[in-house]
Amino acid sequence: MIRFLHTSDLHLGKPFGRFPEDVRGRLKQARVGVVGRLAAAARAGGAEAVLVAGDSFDAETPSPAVVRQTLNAMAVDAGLRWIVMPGNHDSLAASELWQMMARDAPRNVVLARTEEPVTLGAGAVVLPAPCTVRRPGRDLTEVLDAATPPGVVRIGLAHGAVMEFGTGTSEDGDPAIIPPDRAARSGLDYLALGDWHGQMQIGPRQWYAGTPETDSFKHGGAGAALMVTVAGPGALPVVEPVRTGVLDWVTLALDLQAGEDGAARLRAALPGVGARVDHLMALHLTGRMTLGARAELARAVADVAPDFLYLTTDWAGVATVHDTGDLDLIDRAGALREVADRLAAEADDPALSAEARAVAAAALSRLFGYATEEA
Amino acid sequence: MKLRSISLTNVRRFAGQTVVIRGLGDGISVIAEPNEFGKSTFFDALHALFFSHYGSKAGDVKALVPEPSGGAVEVAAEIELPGGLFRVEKRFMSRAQATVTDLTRGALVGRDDEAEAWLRTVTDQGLTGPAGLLWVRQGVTTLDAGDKAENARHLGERRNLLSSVAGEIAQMTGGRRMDRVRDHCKADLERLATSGGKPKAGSPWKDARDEVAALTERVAVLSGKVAELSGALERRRVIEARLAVLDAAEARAARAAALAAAEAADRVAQAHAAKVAEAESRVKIAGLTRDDLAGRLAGLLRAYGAAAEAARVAARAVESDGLIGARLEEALAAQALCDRALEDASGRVKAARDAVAGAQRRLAAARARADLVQVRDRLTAAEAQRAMAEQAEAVVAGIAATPERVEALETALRQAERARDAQAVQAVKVQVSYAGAARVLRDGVAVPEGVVALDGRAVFDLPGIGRLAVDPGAVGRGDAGAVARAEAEEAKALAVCGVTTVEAARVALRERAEAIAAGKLAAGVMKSLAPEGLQALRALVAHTATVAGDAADDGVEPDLAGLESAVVAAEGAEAEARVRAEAAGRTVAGLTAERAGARVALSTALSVKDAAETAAGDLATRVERQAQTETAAAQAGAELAGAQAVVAGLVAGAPDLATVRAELSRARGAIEAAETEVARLRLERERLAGTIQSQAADAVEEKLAEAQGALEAARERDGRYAAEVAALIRLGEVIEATRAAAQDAYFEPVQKELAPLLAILAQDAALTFDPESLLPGRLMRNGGALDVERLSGGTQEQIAILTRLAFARLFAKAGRPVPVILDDALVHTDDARIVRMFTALHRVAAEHQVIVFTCRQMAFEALGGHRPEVVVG
Ligand SMILES: [Mn+2]
Repeated sequence: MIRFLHTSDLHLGKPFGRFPEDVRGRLKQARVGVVGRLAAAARAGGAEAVLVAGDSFDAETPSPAVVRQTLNAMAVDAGLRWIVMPGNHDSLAASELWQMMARDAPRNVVLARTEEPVTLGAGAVVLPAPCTVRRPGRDLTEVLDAATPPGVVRIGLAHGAVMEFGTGTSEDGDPAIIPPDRAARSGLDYLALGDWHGQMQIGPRQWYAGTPETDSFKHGGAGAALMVTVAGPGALPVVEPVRTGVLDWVTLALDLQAGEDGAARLRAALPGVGARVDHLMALHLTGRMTLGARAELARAVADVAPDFLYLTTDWAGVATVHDTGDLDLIDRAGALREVADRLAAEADDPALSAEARAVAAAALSRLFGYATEEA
Repeated sequence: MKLRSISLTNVRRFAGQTVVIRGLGDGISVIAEPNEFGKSTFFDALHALFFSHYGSKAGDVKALVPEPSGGAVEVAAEIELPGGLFRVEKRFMSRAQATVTDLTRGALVGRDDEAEAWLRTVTDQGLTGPAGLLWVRQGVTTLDAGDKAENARHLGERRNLLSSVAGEIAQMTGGRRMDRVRDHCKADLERLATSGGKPKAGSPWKDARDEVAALTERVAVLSGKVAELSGALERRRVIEARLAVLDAAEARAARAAALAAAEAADRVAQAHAAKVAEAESRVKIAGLTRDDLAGRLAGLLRAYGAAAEAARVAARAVESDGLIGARLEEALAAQALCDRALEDASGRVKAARDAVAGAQRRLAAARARADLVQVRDRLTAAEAQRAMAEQAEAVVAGIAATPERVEALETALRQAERARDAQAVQAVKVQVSYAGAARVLRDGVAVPEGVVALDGRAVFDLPGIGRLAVDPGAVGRGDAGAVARAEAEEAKALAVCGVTTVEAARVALRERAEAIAAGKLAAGVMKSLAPEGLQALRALVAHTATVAGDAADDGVEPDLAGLESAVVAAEGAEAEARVRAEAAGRTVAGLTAERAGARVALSTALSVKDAAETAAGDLATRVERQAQTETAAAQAGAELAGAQAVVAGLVAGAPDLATVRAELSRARGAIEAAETEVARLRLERERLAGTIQSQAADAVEEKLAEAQGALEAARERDGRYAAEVAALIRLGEVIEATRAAAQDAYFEPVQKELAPLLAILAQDAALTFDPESLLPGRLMRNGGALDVERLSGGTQEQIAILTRLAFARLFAKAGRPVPVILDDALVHTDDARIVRMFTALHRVAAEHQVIVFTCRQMAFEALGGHRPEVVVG
């Protein structure tokens, strides 16, 4: 029986420049700690090794501090082996990185820089298919056909998109090249895949571990790794997700209908206040809302936003309904109402460009804000 | 509302009095009183009643207090409202209070603050009006009140008026809410954007825009660095791949093998070339051998010839030598004979010459002896003269009195004489003449007759008489100093001359001259005796003595001439003998030289003969040797031909050395090029490593990713602000457009009311309104337009009143007619126009109560209307 922790796409050193300074700090901090959490998870689950299926680093030349801190974290538990394979982000083309790694790696870290099999315990062998360059343009996993002594568990380690699964492209949008039946074709007991940042099973013996610390809203939730147990050659692997992420990336999609209490739905859908500090929220709003409802929802969003590590709202999918009730709130009649009517007409005028309509709608929202403040 | 009565107590000039105006009618009421009556007092009191709190002590209230008596001021009015007739009373300053009574019902409506509150509901419905609407004060010319706060209040009132007179107007203009929204929108826009819609300095939009620019720049810089880094990484990869190829063992082995093969080929080619060279050298040697043998044969034949010739020459030389030897013997014998003869002749010449010399010596000695006496005498005389001359010199030397010195002495003498003479002239002289024997004594000595010169005090003894003392005094003594000085000079000159008297000096000078003359004479004699000096003369004496002693005087005269001719004869013989001896010598020398030449020739010939013989070798084997040499020469020729054939064969089969060399050079070059490239690539790899390490250490990729993210965020922010600005601009635009339309709507009813009133004034007159102040802006008349402010005072006044009347008509139409109060309002208007204004007032008076206070009683006669009673008591 062999047990190991399968992970990938740590993307250490990812800078998160899009985010505000303080958020950036926490995002980086979470990544720095993920190596230690993986080690802890491996220990806790009784794994003898951690298999990193590529993209340990976000860049080909991460800062020396990132590399050293990573290796130091791996070195803490000297009895735990790490098998680290280059992915597309940290491919072998990142010669400087791998030279540094080779020079500074502690004894318990094996760098799978070639297809040379790595023995894992007594009866298992890891067959690596390291990424040679960022976009190899060919199926690197062919090397997983390599022969091994009879009676050992064959574990493949590869990085890239599998054809006919997911979006059909890699995490970075490159074409999928790995055949969907690679494990079967190469007689693997388990194929540890990296690249896709979400956790995904591609067959009875093929898994994407996903990133252990989520790095975007694309794959929501908290990061996790896979605890894999293989009883022996030919046995179906037992795969259990293990949470390793500290930050939750949550996309909350609310489709609202006119007249609906958006604020109430929002409040109902949000996580408990205690957890919010570790949450990054993306509100994805769609549907139709009146000016009043929209303003109310905006207030509600602004009200809860400080609870979260980060909260972003996408209003683009919300069509504003300019009903008389809202316009009456601006003014029942007179010049102010005239202004509101004109803007409402502009916002709904199909003859106008989308941009002009958006400007009118925003202007009307403003007017609504001013007028209701007045009232 | 209508005013029915007004009552004032203790107000201004009505101190302690009550003045009441009663019977104010529905239409026009005119209160025409002289100026001093104080019509403004009514106006001001009414104003205080309606608008000042009863407890107020503000300026306008205080102004009502009579001077100097003071006291409480009371104002009251009866007003008719739709709900009935009311009395409003206020007491100001002391025990201030307010009361409103419903006269219709006879009930108290309220007191004090309640009364004020009731009153406010009345005024809020338009009584205050748009300032001056109801209240038209004396000399009013514009619709502006003047101060800012007042204007703002009036503006608000105009709006209120509009809202009250035409229900929807406030909403049409948007009213104050509209203004606030507009201000809010403007403020928000100004916070972000410039008037041109660009990001405003210091605004968050500008910050975002600046950040976009800065980050764009940073991304560009970092992209460059990342590109450089990945370029460097890529290049290193290429280099490493290339190095792997170059360094591969098989590649190295292949290059080495190629070199080894080329070197082997080169060795083969070189060995072959060596063979060719060797064969060629053999050809050369064979050629040389053949040439040598040919030369030897020729030499052999030459030597044989030479030997024969040398033998002949040697024989001739031996013969010649013998002949010359014999001739030399003969010549030598002849020469000996000649030499002896010459010797004899020479002996004879010598003897003859000796005889001549002896004779000459004897003659000279005889002459010297004769001269010797005379020379000696001359010497003696000369020496004597010399002694005399020396003596004279000694005398001269001993005399000090030289002519110069004596001359000086003479001069001193003369000067002393003159000094003494000068003294004598001044001296007191005493003439002594004796008659008897008695004598005058001086110093005991008798003074002779004659003159006695006195040079000082003198005492004469006059025997028998006594003593006579004469004192010449200072004058009588003359210049005694000059005499003394001259005499001292005189003494000094004497001493220099070595004498004591001048006479002695003169003698000495004469003696000296004589001595000098004697010396000169002696020297001249000596010179004539010994012209070359005494020394030469003494030497002559000695020489002469020596010559004289040289030969004895034998008393015989020698025959010198004879002896000399014998010498000549001997010398002639000697010369002949010498000629002969010399000829013989020459013959001997010639033959000796010839013999030496012959000997050399002989020796040479013999040597040549020996050499030729040696060269030719043993005579016995000469033929044999010649034959052998000939055979060898033929053999050498054959050998040469053979060697040449060998060379030709080797050259024909030789590999192309140039090709082999090129191949070798190529193989070496390939290795060298590979090594050079390896070295160069390693160097470049080192350099790249530096670049890579520095960029990697700088984490440029991370920084770029970060900057790109930040740029994206900044762009979004910029976009959000831009959208916000666009929305605010659009909102502002729509507000402005709507507002303009609404204002047009607002002015429409005013214009409508104003038009007939203006027509009264001028047929084609029209007013435009300022949208901000809601007041008349320009007057259009006779096709022209003028700002109201620039019109004459009268016209401005008329427009102000007509505008108020127009507003008043709006009130009336809204069902709330209010009183119009004119306080001496038409002061600037001439009589012609005032009538038209009266018409306008009448037009309004159909629906409004109009109360006119005026002091222009005559002018306002034409206004007509009701004249209420004014009672003072
Ligand atoms: Mn990845």
